[in-house]
Amino acid sequence: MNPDHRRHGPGKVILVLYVVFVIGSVSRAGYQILTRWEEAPLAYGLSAFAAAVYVVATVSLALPGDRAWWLSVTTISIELAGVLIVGLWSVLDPAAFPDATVWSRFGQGYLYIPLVLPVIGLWWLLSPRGRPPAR
Amino acid sequence: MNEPAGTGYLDVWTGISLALGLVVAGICGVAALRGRPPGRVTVGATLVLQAVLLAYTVRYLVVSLQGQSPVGPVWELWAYLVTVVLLPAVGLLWARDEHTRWGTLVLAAAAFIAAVMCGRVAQIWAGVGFS
Repeated sequence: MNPDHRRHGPGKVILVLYVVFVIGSVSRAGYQILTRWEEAPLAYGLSAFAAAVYVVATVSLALPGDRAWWLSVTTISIELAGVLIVGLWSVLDPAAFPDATVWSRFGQGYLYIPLVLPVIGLWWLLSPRGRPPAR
Repeated sequence: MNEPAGTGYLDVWTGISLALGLVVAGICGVAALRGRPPGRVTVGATLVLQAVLLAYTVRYLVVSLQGQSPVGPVWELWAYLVTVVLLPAVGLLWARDEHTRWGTLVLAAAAFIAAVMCGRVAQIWAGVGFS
């Protein structure tokens, strides 16, 4: 099988969604940190962390090979944990999140795509077509 | 972010772009479900959407150059507009070497996201959800 089949088929649709989130999260985090860092360092720090996770996940999803696959599985697992933890945290303590981050309220402001995307991503990576070829 | 109370922030240009985006997403989504690779109808619909979104973005550029500005953050408005105007083009580019139903689903996803983001652009312009 083609070694880079991971970025084809369903993988291509997933990649489109990740690219949109890279643009969204990187521009948001960049703006927040450059202009209003002192207002809510926790929320903006998490914004930056989320942006970094999306960048690494997207790049690794687009690359062929075993290592990229492992990197994708790791970062997308972190992404899923992040949206669950930050989502719960923002519901329990809204005062800590005065300004929306991608992950606050489980990604409510983004149609909950941040919650669904890592689940679909992990499903794809663990499905037969998304796995690296067995040696 | 709180849900907007109404749809008063939707101007006619956003309404057209949003509706067209959803229609194109629907056409491409149905074609993908039927297992069709990107074809004349789905690619054509995406091209029409691209033209409308280009006009939509240019209109914001003109209005901004005339001195009007959004109630919400300017950076966010343009982050959305740049993404909106690139989405159909990137979708078409990526669907080109994907001659399966997934290529058509890429077009559907691009159109749907662009439609939703147009709605968000209008919210930022009117300051809905910012206090």
